[in-house]
Amino acid sequence: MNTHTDEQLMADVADGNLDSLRFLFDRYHRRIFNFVFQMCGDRDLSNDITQDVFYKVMKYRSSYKGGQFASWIFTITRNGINTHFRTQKTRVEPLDAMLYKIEDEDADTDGKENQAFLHHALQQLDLEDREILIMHKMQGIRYEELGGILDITSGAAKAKAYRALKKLREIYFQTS
Amino acid sequence: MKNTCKHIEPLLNDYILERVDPSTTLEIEGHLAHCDTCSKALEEYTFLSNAFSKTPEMVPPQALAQHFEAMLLKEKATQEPVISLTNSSYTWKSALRIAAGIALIATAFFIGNSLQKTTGDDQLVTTEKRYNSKEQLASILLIENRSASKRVQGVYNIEDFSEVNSEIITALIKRMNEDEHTNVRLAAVEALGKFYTSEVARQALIDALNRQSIPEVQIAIIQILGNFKEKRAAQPAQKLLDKEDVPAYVKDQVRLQLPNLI
Repeated sequence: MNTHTDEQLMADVADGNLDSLRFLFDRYHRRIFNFVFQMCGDRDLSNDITQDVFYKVMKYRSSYKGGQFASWIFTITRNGINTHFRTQKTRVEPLDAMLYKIEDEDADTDGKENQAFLHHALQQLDLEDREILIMHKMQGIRYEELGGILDITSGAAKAKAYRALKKLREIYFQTS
Repeated sequence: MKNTCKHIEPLLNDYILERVDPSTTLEIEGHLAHCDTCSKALEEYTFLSNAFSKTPEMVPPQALAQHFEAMLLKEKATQEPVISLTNSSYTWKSALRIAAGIALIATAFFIGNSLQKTTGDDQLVTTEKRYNSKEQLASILLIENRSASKRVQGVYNIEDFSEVNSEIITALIKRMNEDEHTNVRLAAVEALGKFYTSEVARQALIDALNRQSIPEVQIAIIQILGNFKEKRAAQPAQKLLDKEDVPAYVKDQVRLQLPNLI
Protein backbone atom coordinates (compact mmCIF):
# COMPACT_ATOMS: atom_id res chain seq x y z
CA MET A 1 0.00 0.00 0.00
CA ASN A 2 2.86 2.27 0.79
CA THR A 3 3.87 2.31 -2.87
CA HIS A 4 0.45 3.53 -3.97
CA THR A 5 0.02 7.12 -5.09
CA ASP A 6 -1.85 9.54 -2.86
CA GLU A 7 -4.71 9.45 -5.34
CA GLN A 8 -4.94 5.64 -5.31
CA LEU A 9 -4.95 5.64 -1.52
CA MET A 10 -7.62 8.31 -1.31
CA ALA A 11 -9.78 6.49 -3.87
CA ASP A 12 -9.44 3.45 -1.65
CA VAL A 13 -10.53 5.49 1.39
CA ALA A 14 -13.47 6.86 -0.60
CA ASP A 15 -14.44 3.24 -1.33
CA GLY A 16 -14.67 2.63 2.39
CA ASN A 17 -11.23 1.19 3.14
CA LEU A 18 -10.40 3.52 6.00
CA ASP A 19 -7.10 1.79 6.77
CA SER A 20 -5.57 3.44 3.70
CA LEU A 21 -6.06 6.79 5.40
CA ARG A 22 -3.20 5.88 7.76
CA PHE A 23 -0.73 6.06 4.87
CA LEU A 24 -2.04 9.46 3.83
CA PHE A 25 -1.85 10.66 7.42
CA ASP A 26 1.78 9.51 7.59
CA ARG A 27 2.61 11.32 4.36
CA TYR A 28 0.80 14.56 5.04
CA HIS A 29 0.30 15.35 8.70
CA ARG A 30 3.70 17.02 9.16
CA ARG A 31 3.29 19.12 6.05
CA ILE A 32 -0.19 20.22 7.00
CA PHE A 33 0.81 20.90 10.60
CA ASN A 34 3.79 23.01 9.50
CA PHE A 35 1.75 24.90 6.92
CA VAL A 36 -0.88 25.79 9.52
CA PHE A 37 1.82 26.65 12.06
CA GLN A 38 3.50 29.05 9.65
CA MET A 39 0.13 30.64 8.96
CA CYS A 40 -1.04 31.06 12.55
CA GLY A 41 2.09 30.73 14.70
CA ASP A 42 0.27 28.76 17.38
CA ARG A 43 1.22 25.15 18.07
CA ASP A 44 -2.02 24.12 19.81
CA LEU A 45 -4.17 25.73 17.18
CA SER A 46 -2.09 24.04 14.46
CA ASN A 47 -2.70 20.72 16.17
CA ASP A 48 -6.46 21.36 16.30
CA ILE A 49 -6.72 22.51 12.70
CA THR A 50 -4.59 19.59 11.40
CA GLN A 51 -6.76 17.18 13.35
CA ASP A 52 -9.85 18.74 11.89
CA VAL A 53 -8.41 18.50 8.37
CA PHE A 54 -8.01 14.72 8.67
CA TYR A 55 -11.44 14.44 10.25
CA LYS A 56 -12.89 16.20 7.22
CA VAL A 57 -10.88 14.05 4.79
CA MET A 58 -12.37 10.99 6.51
CA LYS A 59 -15.92 12.30 6.85
CA TYR A 60 -16.20 13.75 3.37
CA ARG A 61 -14.26 10.95 1.71
CA SER A 62 -17.07 10.22 -0.71
CA SER A 63 -16.82 13.76 -2.07
CA TYR A 64 -13.27 13.07 -3.31
CA LYS A 65 -13.63 12.82 -7.07
CA GLY A 66 -10.16 11.71 -8.06
CA GLY A 67 -8.27 14.99 -8.50
CA GLN A 68 -4.83 15.65 -7.07
CA PHE A 69 -4.96 14.65 -3.43
CA ALA A 70 -2.44 17.31 -2.35
CA SER A 71 -4.62 20.03 -3.87
CA TRP A 72 -7.69 18.62 -2.17
CA ILE A 73 -6.17 18.38 1.31
CA PHE A 74 -4.55 21.82 1.07
CA THR A 75 -7.89 23.28 -0.01
CA ILE A 76 -9.50 21.73 3.08
CA THR A 77 -6.65 23.11 5.19
CA ARG A 78 -6.95 26.62 3.76
CA ASN A 79 -10.68 26.58 4.42
CA GLY A 80 -9.99 25.52 8.00
CA ILE A 81 -7.49 28.35 8.50
CA ASN A 82 -9.77 30.92 6.87
CA THR A 83 -12.71 29.83 9.00
CA HIS A 84 -10.56 30.21 12.08
CA PHE A 85 -9.41 33.70 11.15
CA ARG A 86 -12.94 34.71 10.17
CA THR A 87 -14.57 33.48 13.34
CA GLN A 88 -11.85 34.37 15.81
CA LYS A 89 -10.92 37.67 14.22
CA THR A 90 -7.45 37.13 15.62
CA ARG A 91 -4.31 38.46 14.15
CA VAL A 92 -1.38 36.21 13.54
CA GLU A 93 0.69 35.99 16.66
CA PRO A 94 4.46 35.82 16.61
CA LEU A 95 5.63 32.26 16.11
CA ASP A 96 5.99 30.30 19.31
CA ALA A 97 9.31 30.95 20.90
CA MET A 98 9.69 27.21 20.59
CA LEU A 99 10.36 27.54 16.89
CA TYR A 100 13.67 29.12 17.59
CA LYS A 101 14.46 27.01 20.62
CA ILE A 102 14.28 23.78 18.68
CA GLU A 103 17.18 24.79 16.53
CA ASP A 104 20.63 23.52 17.33
CA GLU A 105 22.22 25.42 20.11
CA ASP A 106 25.20 26.22 17.94
CA ALA A 107 23.03 27.44 15.07
CA ASP A 108 24.07 30.89 13.97
CA THR A 109 22.31 33.79 15.61
CA ASP A 110 22.06 35.62 12.28
CA GLY A 111 20.05 32.74 10.83
CA LYS A 112 17.60 32.87 13.73
CA GLU A 113 17.29 36.62 13.37
CA ASN A 114 16.69 36.34 9.64
CA GLN A 115 13.88 33.89 10.25
CA ALA A 116 12.34 36.08 12.91
CA PHE A 117 12.45 39.04 10.47
CA LEU A 118 11.06 36.85 7.72
CA HIS A 119 8.11 35.83 9.85
CA HIS A 120 7.55 39.41 10.88
CA ALA A 121 7.56 40.50 7.23
CA LEU A 122 5.22 37.65 6.27
CA GLN A 123 2.77 38.77 8.91
CA GLN A 124 2.46 42.10 7.21
CA LEU A 125 1.24 40.50 4.00
CA ASP A 126 -2.42 39.75 3.56
CA LEU A 127 -3.60 36.17 4.12
CA GLU A 128 -3.67 35.31 0.43
CA ASP A 129 -0.09 36.45 -0.24
CA ARG A 130 1.18 34.86 2.92
CA GLU A 131 -0.33 31.47 2.20
CA ILE A 132 0.95 31.33 -1.36
CA LEU A 133 4.49 32.11 -0.20
CA ILE A 134 4.38 29.58 2.62
CA MET A 135 3.10 26.90 0.26
CA HIS A 136 5.50 27.78 -2.53
CA LYS A 137 8.67 28.79 -0.72
CA MET A 138 8.47 26.82 2.52
CA GLN A 139 6.56 23.75 1.42
CA GLY A 140 8.09 23.66 -2.05
CA ILE A 141 4.74 23.30 -3.79
CA ARG A 142 5.14 23.77 -7.54
CA TYR A 143 3.04 26.11 -9.66
CA GLU A 144 0.82 23.36 -11.16
CA GLU A 145 -0.10 22.08 -7.73
CA LEU A 146 -0.54 25.63 -6.41
CA GLY A 147 -2.90 26.29 -9.32
CA GLY A 148 -4.89 23.20 -8.33
CA ILE A 149 -5.10 24.32 -4.71
CA LEU A 150 -6.06 27.89 -5.56
CA ASP A 151 -8.30 26.83 -8.43
CA ILE A 152 -6.41 28.94 -10.96
CA THR A 153 -4.05 28.10 -13.84
CA SER A 154 -0.41 27.35 -13.11
CA GLY A 155 0.50 30.56 -14.99
CA ALA A 156 -1.76 32.59 -12.72
CA ALA A 157 -0.28 30.83 -9.67
CA LYS A 158 3.21 31.76 -10.84
CA ALA A 159 2.20 35.40 -11.31
CA LYS A 160 0.55 35.51 -7.87
CA ALA A 161 3.61 33.93 -6.22
CA TYR A 162 5.86 36.47 -7.88
CA ARG A 163 3.69 39.43 -6.81
CA ALA A 164 3.59 38.13 -3.23
CA LEU A 165 7.35 37.60 -3.21
CA LYS A 166 7.91 41.08 -4.56
CA LYS A 167 5.75 42.56 -1.78
CA LEU A 168 7.66 40.54 0.79
CA ARG A 169 10.97 41.77 -0.58
CA GLU A 170 9.75 45.34 -0.39
CA ILE A 171 8.67 44.90 3.22
CA TYR A 172 11.78 43.01 4.24
CA PHE A 173 14.30 45.32 2.60
CA GLN A 174 12.09 48.43 2.63
CA THR A 175 12.83 48.93 -1.05
CA SER A 176 9.46 50.15 -2.28
CA MET B 1 12.77 50.25 -14.32
CA LYS B 2 13.77 49.43 -17.84
CA ASN B 3 11.58 47.29 -20.05
CA THR B 4 14.16 44.50 -19.97
CA CYS B 5 14.16 44.62 -16.17
CA LYS B 6 10.36 44.29 -16.18
CA HIS B 7 10.79 41.14 -18.18
CA ILE B 8 13.74 39.73 -16.23
CA GLU B 9 12.77 40.41 -12.60
CA PRO B 10 9.71 38.10 -12.51
CA LEU B 11 11.97 35.30 -13.73
CA LEU B 12 14.47 35.64 -10.90
CA ASN B 13 12.58 33.40 -8.45
CA ASP B 14 12.54 30.54 -10.95
CA TYR B 15 16.16 31.28 -11.82
CA ILE B 16 17.11 30.83 -8.15
CA LEU B 17 15.09 27.61 -8.05
CA GLU B 18 16.84 26.50 -11.27
CA ARG B 19 13.53 26.12 -13.00
CA VAL B 20 14.27 28.08 -16.17
CA ASP B 21 15.35 26.62 -19.48
CA PRO B 22 18.97 27.10 -20.70
CA SER B 23 18.14 29.85 -23.20
CA THR B 24 16.30 31.88 -20.53
CA THR B 25 19.21 31.30 -18.15
CA LEU B 26 21.56 32.80 -20.74
CA GLU B 27 19.22 35.72 -21.25
CA ILE B 28 18.96 36.41 -17.49
CA GLU B 29 22.71 36.12 -16.94
CA GLY B 30 23.40 38.37 -19.91
CA HIS B 31 21.11 41.00 -18.40
CA LEU B 32 22.46 40.63 -14.86
CA ALA B 33 26.01 41.24 -16.09
CA HIS B 34 25.25 44.87 -16.76
CA CYS B 35 22.15 45.66 -14.60
CA ASP B 36 22.81 46.62 -11.00
CA THR B 37 19.10 46.90 -10.15
CA CYS B 38 18.35 43.32 -11.17
CA SER B 39 21.58 42.06 -9.60
CA LYS B 40 20.50 43.63 -6.31
CA ALA B 41 17.03 42.10 -6.71
CA LEU B 42 18.60 38.69 -7.33
CA GLU B 43 20.72 39.07 -4.21
CA GLU B 44 17.66 39.92 -2.10
CA TYR B 45 15.47 37.15 -3.54
CA THR B 46 18.29 34.70 -2.90
CA PHE B 47 18.54 35.93 0.67
CA LEU B 48 14.80 35.44 1.18
CA SER B 49 14.90 32.01 -0.45
CA ASN B 50 17.64 30.95 1.96
CA ALA B 51 15.70 32.27 4.94
CA PHE B 52 12.62 30.34 3.77
CA SER B 53 14.55 27.14 3.29
CA LYS B 54 16.19 27.42 6.71
CA THR B 55 12.88 27.66 8.52
CA PRO B 56 12.96 24.67 10.88
CA GLU B 57 10.28 22.04 10.48
CA MET B 58 8.13 21.68 13.56
CA VAL B 59 7.45 18.23 14.95
CA PRO B 60 3.71 17.86 15.56
CA PRO B 61 2.68 16.83 19.08
CA GLN B 62 2.28 13.08 19.60
CA ALA B 63 -1.34 13.64 20.51
CA LEU B 64 -2.05 14.39 16.86
CA ALA B 65 -1.33 10.82 15.75
CA GLN B 66 -3.12 9.41 18.79
CA HIS B 67 -6.25 11.43 18.11
CA PHE B 68 -6.14 10.45 14.48
CA GLU B 69 -5.97 6.75 15.38
CA ALA B 70 -8.84 7.06 17.86
CA MET B 71 -10.92 8.95 15.31
CA LEU B 72 -10.24 6.32 12.66
CA LEU B 73 -11.22 3.45 14.94
CA LYS B 74 -14.43 5.20 15.93
CA GLU B 75 -15.32 5.79 12.31
CA LYS B 76 -14.52 2.19 11.43
CA ALA B 77 -16.84 1.04 14.19
CA THR B 78 -19.71 3.05 12.79
CA GLN B 79 -18.91 1.65 9.38
CA GLU B 80 -19.84 -1.87 10.52
CA PRO B 81 -23.31 -2.97 9.40
CA VAL B 82 -25.99 -1.68 11.73
CA ILE B 83 -27.50 -4.43 13.81
CA SER B 84 -31.26 -4.54 13.55
CA LEU B 85 -33.23 -4.72 16.78
CA THR B 86 -35.23 -7.77 15.77
CA ASN B 87 -32.31 -10.14 15.42
CA SER B 88 -29.57 -8.06 16.89
CA SER B 89 -28.28 -10.64 19.32
CA TYR B 90 -26.90 -13.03 16.74
CA THR B 91 -26.43 -11.17 13.48
CA TRP B 92 -22.76 -10.49 14.01
CA LYS B 93 -22.09 -13.99 15.18
CA SER B 94 -23.47 -15.60 12.07
CA ALA B 95 -21.28 -13.38 9.93
CA LEU B 96 -18.21 -13.84 11.99
CA ARG B 97 -18.09 -17.30 13.26
CA ILE B 98 -18.82 -20.19 11.03
CA ALA B 99 -16.95 -22.30 13.49
CA ALA B 100 -19.01 -20.88 16.32
CA GLY B 101 -21.35 -23.84 16.50
CA ILE B 102 -18.59 -26.12 17.65
CA ALA B 103 -17.16 -23.54 19.99
CA LEU B 104 -20.55 -22.77 21.53
CA ILE B 105 -21.25 -26.42 22.22
CA ALA B 106 -17.79 -26.69 23.73
CA THR B 107 -18.47 -23.55 25.75
CA ALA B 108 -21.77 -24.85 27.08
CA PHE B 109 -20.15 -28.14 28.00
CA PHE B 110 -17.24 -26.41 29.61
CA ILE B 111 -19.44 -24.04 31.58
CA GLY B 112 -21.68 -26.87 32.73
CA ASN B 113 -18.64 -28.68 33.94
CA SER B 114 -16.88 -25.76 35.45
CA LEU B 115 -19.89 -24.41 37.33
CA GLN B 116 -19.67 -27.45 39.53
CA LYS B 117 -16.12 -26.64 40.40
CA THR B 118 -14.76 -23.87 42.48
CA THR B 119 -13.54 -21.10 40.28
CA GLY B 120 -10.12 -19.52 39.92
CA ASP B 121 -7.20 -19.28 37.59
CA ASP B 122 -5.13 -21.81 39.44
CA GLN B 123 -7.79 -24.44 39.04
CA LEU B 124 -8.10 -23.60 35.42
CA VAL B 125 -4.56 -24.64 34.73
CA THR B 126 -4.56 -27.70 36.90
CA THR B 127 -7.64 -29.49 35.63
CA GLU B 128 -7.34 -33.06 34.48
CA LYS B 129 -6.13 -32.20 30.97
CA ARG B 130 -2.59 -30.92 30.97
CA TYR B 131 -2.17 -28.03 28.66
CA ASN B 132 0.35 -28.24 25.93
CA SER B 133 2.56 -25.21 26.52
CA LYS B 134 4.10 -25.38 23.05
CA GLU B 135 0.72 -25.16 21.36
CA GLN B 136 -0.33 -22.33 23.61
CA LEU B 137 2.87 -20.46 22.91
CA ALA B 138 2.24 -20.92 19.18
CA SER B 139 -1.26 -19.54 19.64
CA ILE B 140 0.03 -16.51 21.50
CA LEU B 141 2.42 -15.87 18.64
CA LEU B 142 -0.44 -16.27 16.17
CA ILE B 143 -2.70 -13.77 17.93
CA GLU B 144 0.10 -11.22 17.84
CA ASN B 145 0.46 -11.71 14.07
CA ARG B 146 0.27 -8.67 11.79
CA SER B 147 -2.51 -10.23 9.75
CA ALA B 148 -5.96 -9.77 11.30
CA SER B 149 -7.27 -13.06 9.88
CA LYS B 150 -4.34 -14.92 11.46
CA ARG B 151 -5.09 -13.23 14.77
CA VAL B 152 -8.72 -14.37 14.56
CA GLN B 153 -7.48 -17.87 13.73
CA GLY B 154 -5.15 -17.70 16.75
CA VAL B 155 -8.05 -16.78 19.02
CA TYR B 156 -10.14 -19.65 17.63
CA ASN B 157 -7.26 -22.04 18.25
CA ILE B 158 -7.15 -20.93 21.86
CA GLU B 159 -10.85 -21.66 22.21
CA ASP B 160 -10.06 -25.29 21.42
CA PHE B 161 -7.91 -25.59 24.52
CA SER B 162 -9.77 -26.94 27.47
CA GLU B 163 -7.54 -25.04 29.85
CA VAL B 164 -5.23 -22.10 29.44
CA ASN B 165 -2.54 -20.34 31.40
CA SER B 166 -2.71 -16.76 32.61
CA GLU B 167 -0.44 -15.64 29.78
CA ILE B 168 -3.09 -16.64 27.25
CA ILE B 169 -5.81 -14.89 29.22
CA THR B 170 -3.69 -11.72 29.28
CA ALA B 171 -3.07 -11.98 25.52
CA LEU B 172 -6.82 -12.40 24.89
CA ILE B 173 -7.61 -9.38 27.05
CA LYS B 174 -5.10 -7.34 25.08
CA ARG B 175 -6.76 -8.42 21.80
CA MET B 176 -10.20 -7.57 23.17
CA ASN B 177 -9.16 -4.12 24.32
CA GLU B 178 -6.58 -3.04 21.80
CA ASP B 179 -6.90 -4.86 18.49
CA GLU B 180 -7.54 -2.56 15.56
CA HIS B 181 -9.97 -5.03 13.99
CA THR B 182 -13.47 -5.46 15.36
CA ASN B 183 -13.50 -9.11 14.27
CA VAL B 184 -10.46 -9.93 16.37
CA ARG B 185 -11.93 -8.10 19.35
CA LEU B 186 -15.19 -10.02 18.99
CA ALA B 187 -13.39 -13.35 18.76
CA ALA B 188 -11.38 -12.43 21.87
CA VAL B 189 -14.55 -11.51 23.78
CA GLU B 190 -16.05 -14.85 22.85
CA ALA B 191 -12.91 -16.71 23.91
CA LEU B 192 -12.79 -14.88 27.24
CA GLY B 193 -16.42 -15.88 27.68
CA LYS B 194 -15.37 -19.47 27.25
CA PHE B 195 -12.79 -19.12 29.99
CA TYR B 196 -15.25 -17.39 32.27
CA THR B 197 -14.17 -19.46 35.26
CA SER B 198 -11.02 -17.35 35.25
CA GLU B 199 -11.54 -14.44 37.60
CA VAL B 200 -9.10 -12.40 35.50
CA ALA B 201 -11.13 -13.04 32.33
CA ARG B 202 -14.38 -12.22 34.15
CA GLN B 203 -13.06 -8.99 35.59
CA ALA B 204 -11.62 -7.97 32.21
CA LEU B 205 -15.02 -8.46 30.55
CA ILE B 206 -16.72 -6.38 33.25
CA ASP B 207 -14.09 -3.64 32.93
CA ALA B 208 -14.29 -3.70 29.14
CA LEU B 209 -17.99 -2.88 29.17
CA ASN B 210 -17.27 0.80 29.64
CA ARG B 211 -13.87 0.78 28.08
CA GLN B 212 -15.00 -0.41 24.67
CA SER B 213 -16.47 2.06 22.22
CA ILE B 214 -17.21 -0.33 19.36
CA PRO B 215 -20.94 -1.11 19.49
CA GLU B 216 -20.62 -4.72 18.30
CA VAL B 217 -18.05 -5.46 20.98
CA GLN B 218 -20.18 -3.79 23.66
CA ILE B 219 -23.13 -5.99 22.62
CA ALA B 220 -21.03 -9.17 22.66
CA ILE B 221 -19.76 -8.39 26.16
CA ILE B 222 -23.15 -7.52 27.63
CA GLN B 223 -24.58 -10.75 26.25
CA ILE B 224 -21.88 -12.85 27.85
CA LEU B 225 -22.20 -11.05 31.16
CA GLY B 226 -25.99 -11.47 30.97
CA ASN B 227 -25.67 -15.19 30.23
CA PHE B 228 -23.50 -15.65 33.28
CA LYS B 229 -25.77 -13.44 35.38
CA GLU B 230 -22.76 -11.41 36.41
CA LYS B 231 -24.05 -9.19 39.22
CA ARG B 232 -20.92 -7.05 39.30
CA ALA B 233 -21.73 -5.92 35.76
CA ALA B 234 -24.98 -4.22 36.80
CA GLN B 235 -23.32 -0.92 37.68
CA PRO B 236 -21.13 -0.64 34.55
CA ALA B 237 -24.14 -1.65 32.44
CA GLN B 238 -26.20 1.11 34.04
CA LYS B 239 -23.35 3.52 33.33
CA LEU B 240 -23.44 2.49 29.67
CA LEU B 241 -27.12 3.42 29.52
CA ASP B 242 -26.31 6.90 30.79
CA LYS B 243 -23.67 7.55 28.15
CA GLU B 244 -24.79 9.81 25.34
CA ASP B 245 -22.47 8.41 22.69
CA VAL B 246 -23.64 4.81 23.07
CA PRO B 247 -25.91 3.89 20.14
CA ALA B 248 -29.57 3.13 20.89
CA TYR B 249 -29.31 -0.45 19.64
CA VAL B 250 -26.54 -1.14 22.15
CA LYS B 251 -28.64 0.36 24.94
CA ASP B 252 -31.53 -1.90 23.88
CA GLN B 253 -29.27 -4.90 24.37
CA VAL B 254 -28.14 -3.60 27.74
CA ARG B 255 -31.77 -3.16 28.86
CA LEU B 256 -32.50 -6.66 27.63
CA GLN B 257 -29.72 -8.13 29.76
CA LEU B 258 -30.11 -5.88 32.78
CA PRO B 259 -32.67 -8.16 34.53
CA ASN B 260 -30.04 -10.94 34.43
CA LEU B 261 -27.49 -8.70 36.14
CA ILE B 262 -29.51 -7.53 39.16
